[in-house]
Amino acid sequence: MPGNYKIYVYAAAFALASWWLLLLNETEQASLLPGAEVHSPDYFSNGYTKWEMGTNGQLKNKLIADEMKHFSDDGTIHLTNPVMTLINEAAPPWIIKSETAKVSGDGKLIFLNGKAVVQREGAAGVRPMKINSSNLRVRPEESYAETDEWAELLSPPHRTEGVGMQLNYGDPIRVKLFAKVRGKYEFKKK
Amino acid sequence: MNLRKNKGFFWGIWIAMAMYSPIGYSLKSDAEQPVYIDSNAANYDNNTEISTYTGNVISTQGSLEVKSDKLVVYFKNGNVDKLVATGNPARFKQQPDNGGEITGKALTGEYYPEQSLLILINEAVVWQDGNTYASDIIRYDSKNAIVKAGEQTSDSKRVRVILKPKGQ
Repeated sequence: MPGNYKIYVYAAAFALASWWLLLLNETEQASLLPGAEVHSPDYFSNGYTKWEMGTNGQLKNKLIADEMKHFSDDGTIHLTNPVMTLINEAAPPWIIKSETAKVSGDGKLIFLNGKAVVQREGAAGVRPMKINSSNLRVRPEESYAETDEWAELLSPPHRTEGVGMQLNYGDPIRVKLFAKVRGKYEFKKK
Repeated sequence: MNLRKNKGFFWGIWIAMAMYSPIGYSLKSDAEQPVYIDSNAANYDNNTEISTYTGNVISTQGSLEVKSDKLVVYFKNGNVDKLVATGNPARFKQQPDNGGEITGKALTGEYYPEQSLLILINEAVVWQDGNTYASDIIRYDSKNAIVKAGEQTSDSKRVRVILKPKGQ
């Protein structure tokens, strides 16, 4: 009799597992019905370039990327190896690079994922500046970027690094570092 | 020579020693080193060309070390013009190539890297080998380890110097 009891237990467990798998399969099929929302790109582009002009008709910024994917469910744009050039009439442009990027549906928030570089060349009266960091959150309309990660500010021959950064790259440029800050300042040899 | 004149003569010597007193050997290698600054937080304003470091600030240039609550770095045309350390008090020390460690404190310390000049302001005191220099303002030449206490232009800036007698 103990042997027969085990058979009933195994049979019941098998029936329960079969019912659960059937339920999972039905749920998956229901989600794939036409019209159901799926997080997949509705259009994409390779060798993507986007130009944005200001109200004066002049180039405001330029974005290039190896690959662009647009997702219809949340309106986000996903970019691979993006390079954004932000034009400034009074100074050389800011160039922002990252490994990948995600632009929110309304375009007001950009996540720069992986290694990110924010750079501006020097010019007459303008010091060159480069910021190495990662996983930046950028609000382009406010010329503002922040990260919780390590960041390095290079303005040759000086260097400052820290963990956690808020950057205003408009005019004037302001940088805040929040922890483990280390600065290095070099002087001209006499 | 009466006693009154003698007293004046000796005070004159003490003050002269305080005004210009080499208390170590040259530290030219320190002056050629970069300045490193460690702190809890910092911010930089490109408009004013000022970097401000706050929270347990330790700045070093070779063997020269300054500890302060806050350090402000002033730039001029991209080059460091001066560094101002404040604390309650800010403290500094430097190890000469030969001789004992030089230490000091003040509420404010202004450092001019081009001249290797550290100016200690308010409740300023410098010690070395048992000798003490105290004044409202002390100028310390960190390249040549020279202390200048008080202001030559003002008799009101009192200087106290305690020199350890030889043999102690």
